[in-house]
Amino acid sequence: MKMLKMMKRLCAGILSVALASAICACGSEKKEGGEITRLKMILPGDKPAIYDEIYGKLNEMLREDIGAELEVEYYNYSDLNQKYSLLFSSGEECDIVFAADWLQYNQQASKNSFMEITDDMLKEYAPKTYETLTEIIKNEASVNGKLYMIPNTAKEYSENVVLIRGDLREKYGLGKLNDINDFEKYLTMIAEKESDIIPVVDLALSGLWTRDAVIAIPPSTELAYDIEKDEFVKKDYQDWYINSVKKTRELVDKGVIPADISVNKTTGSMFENGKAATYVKNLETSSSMAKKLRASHPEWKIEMYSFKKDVPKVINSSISNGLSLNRICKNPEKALQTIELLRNDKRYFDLTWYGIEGKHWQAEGDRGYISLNDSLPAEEKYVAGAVWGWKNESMLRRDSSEIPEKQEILDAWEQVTVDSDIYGFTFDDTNVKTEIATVKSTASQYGGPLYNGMVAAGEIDKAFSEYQKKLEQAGIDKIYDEVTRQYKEYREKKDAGK
Amino acid sequence: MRRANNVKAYKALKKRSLWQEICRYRVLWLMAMPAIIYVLLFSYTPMAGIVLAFKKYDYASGIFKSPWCGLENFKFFFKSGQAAVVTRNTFLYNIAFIFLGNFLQMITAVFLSEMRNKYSKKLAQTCIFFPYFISWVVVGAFIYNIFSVDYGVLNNILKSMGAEPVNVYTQPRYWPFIITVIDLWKGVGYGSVVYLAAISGLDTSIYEAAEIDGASLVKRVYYITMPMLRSTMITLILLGLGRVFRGNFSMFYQLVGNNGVLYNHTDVIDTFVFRTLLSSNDIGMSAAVGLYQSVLCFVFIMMANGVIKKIDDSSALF
Repeated sequence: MKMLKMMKRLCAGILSVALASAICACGSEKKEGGEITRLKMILPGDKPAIYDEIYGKLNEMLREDIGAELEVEYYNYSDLNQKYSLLFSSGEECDIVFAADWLQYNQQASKNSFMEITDDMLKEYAPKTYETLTEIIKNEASVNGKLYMIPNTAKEYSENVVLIRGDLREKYGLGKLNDINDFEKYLTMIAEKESDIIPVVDLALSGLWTRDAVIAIPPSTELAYDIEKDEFVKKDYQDWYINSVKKTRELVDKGVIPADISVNKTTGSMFENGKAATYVKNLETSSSMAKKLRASHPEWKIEMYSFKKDVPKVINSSISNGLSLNRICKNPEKALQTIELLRNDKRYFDLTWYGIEGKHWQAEGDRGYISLNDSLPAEEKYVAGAVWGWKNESMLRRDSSEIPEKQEILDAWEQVTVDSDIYGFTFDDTNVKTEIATVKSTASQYGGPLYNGMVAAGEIDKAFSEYQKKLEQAGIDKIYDEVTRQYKEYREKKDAGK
Repeated sequence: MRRANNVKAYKALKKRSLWQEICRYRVLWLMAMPAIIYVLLFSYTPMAGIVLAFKKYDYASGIFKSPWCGLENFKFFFKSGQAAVVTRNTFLYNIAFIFLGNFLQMITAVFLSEMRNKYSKKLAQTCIFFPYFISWVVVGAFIYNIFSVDYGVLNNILKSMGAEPVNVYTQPRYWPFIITVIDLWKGVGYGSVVYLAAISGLDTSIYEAAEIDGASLVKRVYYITMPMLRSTMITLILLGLGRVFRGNFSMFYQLVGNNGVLYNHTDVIDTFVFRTLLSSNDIGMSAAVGLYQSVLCFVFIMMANGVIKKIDDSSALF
């Protein structure tokens, strides 16, 4: 009897709690559905120190313009890949998601992670954006004929440039570096003479010695697209790649590249801290690093070089950065309106890209600006982060305090830029999923040590033939045939369209 | 008389329904409730997700409505040629961890319990326990600073003695040893707590009697403590064997990283799957390997338990 009473009470208790929470849930939902629509956006990178100031201002404008509020959640780069894929599998609620080819946009889209963005939606809610999306761009961003992303519209290259320490170069009596051989002299000199400075901490550098006009697509397949020949090749069978591996090992033997470079996890900030003699990153990142170091360490006399000015290039795919709508986005209309404002309204673009006018930057005409960030204390600086999602060439301002070499290099690159629609080709990996996974694990086991310069010089040829054998077992030829077949179809369709 | 009572009790038990049973032992049931709920929620409910191993997963259709794809998801694992190697590694490493670990944990507990001075005992225990709290990321950094070719402690010592430096990161044969030692160093303190608890539960009068009979400390440990810890040890080993095909991902990943040279000796199932599927993010394929691990673990624990049951019925888990 007593037990029964207890049970009754327990049930009543549980019920009342459940009811209460249900009522609460209703309450909050009603609030959300009211005047102001709350949107959530996912961006990679770190939250800006003055997020509240910038996005507080943004929200003031958004509330007034379209009756919405935007909240940004940042996914740190260190675990971006894991968190990003969990975002879709866990069904987390958010509306706008950063998307990019380097975040497997195609695969995510074919798994239905995103909401399709139709022409009608664009015309109605983002008309200015719609106008900027040319057929080529739309083609690049479409998966199985459907558009899932609003790509950025800006010219970018993924090519790496090199920063070096001018003071060290002068110390050892070397002239300006004219070519890659001068660069090697510089590196060897540092390896021999400087005991506290490591010449190289980034293996991205090993690609500099080969004249490889290729793009590594489709990702994770060990294939590459040869720009000059207009065809796909198996990377690990090409002389230019084998030679670059040999060069890497030669540099390891010379002491230029540390023997255990792949294991060292603290290489990121070594150049900045004066512990490494080179910095190898893409043009944007390198030139902002150069600018920063010229201000903080003028005595280092930072210099920037591009050693592959004559190698043909292709402008990055427009899907290298962009914004998508989450599949479970509740308010696609408002989300698109927000993207439209971010991309095409100068007030929004300037605020999110450069910060608060007068505090973080000063306008110089319509298309230029002077950054005031350097004079501000660290907690007041505005580091925009992954705002490239709404990068728009026609809105961009040029930084007049930018280092002059950047434009020189860009001009030189433009001379060798090839018109190509290769990025319009999206590879459908459905038929070779197993092979891609197997090739990937083979590449990391047998290809990794080669790339990292861990295989002794005399054994590289042998290691390559073993690696190639393993790749064949893994089914690289099947992937190659599939890619070539699909590419041929793509070409034929294009030519027929003309 | 006693037997008659037993039979009576048994009959009574049979007559009672489950509900009556629950009512009668409600306090015991209540105490077990959190564990029962936990197991139901986190072990039984997710089991439905096993179907993912046989599906081509699609976010829009969800787990149950995605189309079936047969054994397609298992293919990549067995086609890679690494399935046997990583399964072997996972198994052998875990066997080494479980047996060496339990042995060392027991020895440590015996030593600690025999220490008379309270302060030195606490100090020793804290020191042994401490590594358990260090994250694997930090341990990975330690290891790098010891073994790095150019800057490592080990090679600096070797060089100062005039010996040739060793690049441990290109020599797979050292790694089974390094990994086992590190795992033991990190886990012994934590594991010894269970044994310490078991020892403190032992009947002290037995020790007193042995002491009066003239048994030395070594004899008391050998003839009393160790035999009495046997069932604890068997239980712990069996529990460990239940996870024998699951690699300690964070350890292997942090110690070895993306160093392909070492994979044949250091790659476990979990790191292999992580590396292979990280970018393609194919849930079906990862679920397939998870199922493979679970089935192997299940078969193995059933066998191990069966063997124990044959030898010593009372020590078996079930």
